[in-house]
Amino acid sequence: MREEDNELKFSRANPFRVPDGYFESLDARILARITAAETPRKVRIYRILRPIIGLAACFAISFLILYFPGKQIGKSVSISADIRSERTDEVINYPFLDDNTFFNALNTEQDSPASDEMMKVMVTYVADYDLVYRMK
Amino acid sequence: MTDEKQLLSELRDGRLKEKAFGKLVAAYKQQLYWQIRRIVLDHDDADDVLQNAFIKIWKNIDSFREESSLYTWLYRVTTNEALSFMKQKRRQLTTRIEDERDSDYLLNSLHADPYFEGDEVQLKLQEAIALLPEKQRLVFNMRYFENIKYDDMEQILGTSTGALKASFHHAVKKIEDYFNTTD
Repeated sequence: MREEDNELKFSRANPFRVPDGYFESLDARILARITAAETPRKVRIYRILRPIIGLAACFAISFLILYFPGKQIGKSVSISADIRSERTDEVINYPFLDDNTFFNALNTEQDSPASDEMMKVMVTYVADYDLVYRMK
Repeated sequence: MTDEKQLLSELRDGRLKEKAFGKLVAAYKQQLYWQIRRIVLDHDDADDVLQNAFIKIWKNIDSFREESSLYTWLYRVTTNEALSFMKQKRRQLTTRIEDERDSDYLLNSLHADPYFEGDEVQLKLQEAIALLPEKQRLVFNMRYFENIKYDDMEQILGTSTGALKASFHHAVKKIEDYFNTTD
């Protein structure tokens, strides 16, 4: 028993009431207010960040347009130029090779990518008898 | 207590927060509403204060350090919200001393309240409570109507048990005096 029970003898019943259905609809109203309170904050943050995001996107797109394709084109040009120069050098140099170098190249088992060109050069510049003699 | 722990862990999980908050509102809305209603008396004011209190709870639930029970923390937030509301109302009535301004506002609210269904004695009791200083009014309502333990009240109001008991005792005496003088 509480010590102050003897002090006051008034009813402890609640004399106040609430409108009908108040507590039933309260949850939805509170959650709606929370959603409303949260949404403007997200929108506000987005509004602040929007120009920065836009600027960053412009830089990124500019970078992709200017830098990346340029780099790719430059790369493919240099690669094909390298290949072409190697092959051209080989073909151009065949007529000027001395005979030993030429026949040593023929005797190696390694199949060089320029073997077809080599055969053409050989047919053009080397006489049949000379070839037969050297092979012996 | 286990339910409270479970609820708290869900409230701190971003994916479950909204659903868990719905559970919290459902579990505590009536207790917290009546706590506020006894402070502000008017239903519409109580409704506004309660909704604001729940928004504060939603925003600050992560800062709850579990130094007290969730229930006492919720009571503290709602009580502070209700007291801030009264302070705001008080500023609008600038000519009188603090407690007189509160009493006037509360008595007006009480007499105009369409949702008061008590008899004459209950009305008189509410008038006597409205005339009490703020602290005594709080303590009396929490102890007499809501049967809150002094230990919990200590945490809610940040006042020692001795001071709370003294406040309650003074409140009872003043209510008795009010009944004796108005009979």
